[in-house]
Amino acid sequence: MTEYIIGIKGKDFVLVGADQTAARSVIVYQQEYDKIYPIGKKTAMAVCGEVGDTNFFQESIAKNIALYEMRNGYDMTPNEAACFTRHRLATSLRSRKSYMVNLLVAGYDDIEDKPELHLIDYLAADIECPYGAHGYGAMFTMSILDRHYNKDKPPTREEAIALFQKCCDELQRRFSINLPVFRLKIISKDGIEELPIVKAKAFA
Amino acid sequence: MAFQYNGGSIVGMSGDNCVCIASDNRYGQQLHTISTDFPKIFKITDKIFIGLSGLATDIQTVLNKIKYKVNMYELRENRKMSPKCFKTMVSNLLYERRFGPFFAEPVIVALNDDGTTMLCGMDCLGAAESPKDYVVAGTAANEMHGLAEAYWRPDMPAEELFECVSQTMLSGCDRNAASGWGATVTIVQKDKIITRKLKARMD
Repeated sequence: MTEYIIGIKGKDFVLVGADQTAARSVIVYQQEYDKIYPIGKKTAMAVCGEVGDTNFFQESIAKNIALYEMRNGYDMTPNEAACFTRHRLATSLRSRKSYMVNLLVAGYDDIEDKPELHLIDYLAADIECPYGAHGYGAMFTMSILDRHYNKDKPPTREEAIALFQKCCDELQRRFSINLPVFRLKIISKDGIEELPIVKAKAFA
Repeated sequence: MAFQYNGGSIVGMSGDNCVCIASDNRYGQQLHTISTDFPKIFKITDKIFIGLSGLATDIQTVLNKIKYKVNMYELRENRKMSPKCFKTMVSNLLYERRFGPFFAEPVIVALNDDGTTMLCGMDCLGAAESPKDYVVAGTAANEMHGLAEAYWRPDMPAEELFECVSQTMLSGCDRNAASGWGATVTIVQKDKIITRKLKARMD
């Protein structure tokens, strides 16, 4: 819950951001932890939640999607990947081992030529949305996104990054957990591209 | 608690050879709204619609299981499922999990081949009832009961039925915190299906 992952859909790209903090109790082990994992050539998954479950679940999904590609000769579209992930999570929910992970599946669909962003919570409820976030940070930043995101005219890359910066600054101002640096990745029809690290600048 | 976690409400009514079903559009996690575009009405065939309220993950799981069973039925039997058969199938599907149920409560509206209407509401264990007037389900069910009871009359034509269902849904959701953010209403008639989105109190 104290981690933060966010996705913002543009006209032909999806921006995925996540904090880089790896912490347990009061100690921060690392401020360079990457929570956004590629699961296909043009699909990525940002995961937050229970330690261990995140890593295991993410790897399991990524390898199964790679297996699908090997078996069938073509990639899973982001929609299929999200559906598959949701199904896995839903099946495990009522079994002996359930995964406590909140995730975002973001990707570019080559067939329909559009970006897709799926928000999947730990109970495996999947929703396709123009923007979304997980964690306590979502409570602070969703309203900023509601205000500045125009559904009729989706943001350009620069606008989306500026919107993301606004969210990071708001977290620095009002969220009691310190999230100083954020990792940003853009998924478009050219694949997954890593952007420069974003620093929260509320008190710069 | 599981039924109130995501919020959501459904109302279904029957009229003169037409049926109408409506749901709100909210998807939330307790007090936090995540999406305002999450209608809970799903088309099964041209004549059968199902609305599912309750926990969002179970709505999606139950819907996937239903779609699978309907598709397999159509492939094996080479014909469309009848409403009566569909109702029994959903009821059995839910009862299979008697001691670890899906937290989803369906409302089924359908038109039979002869033009008569079928309306059915179930609890999360599959106990089905087919009243002749209306069925409500979800967090705003109590609020909608009063309105539905007052507005419903037998054999309403399609447009009047649409008004009746819309007013019930809008007023019910106005007074319930976990449902709202607009409504999606579908009228099913013999030869056409009309879906409209309504704007309500956007909170």
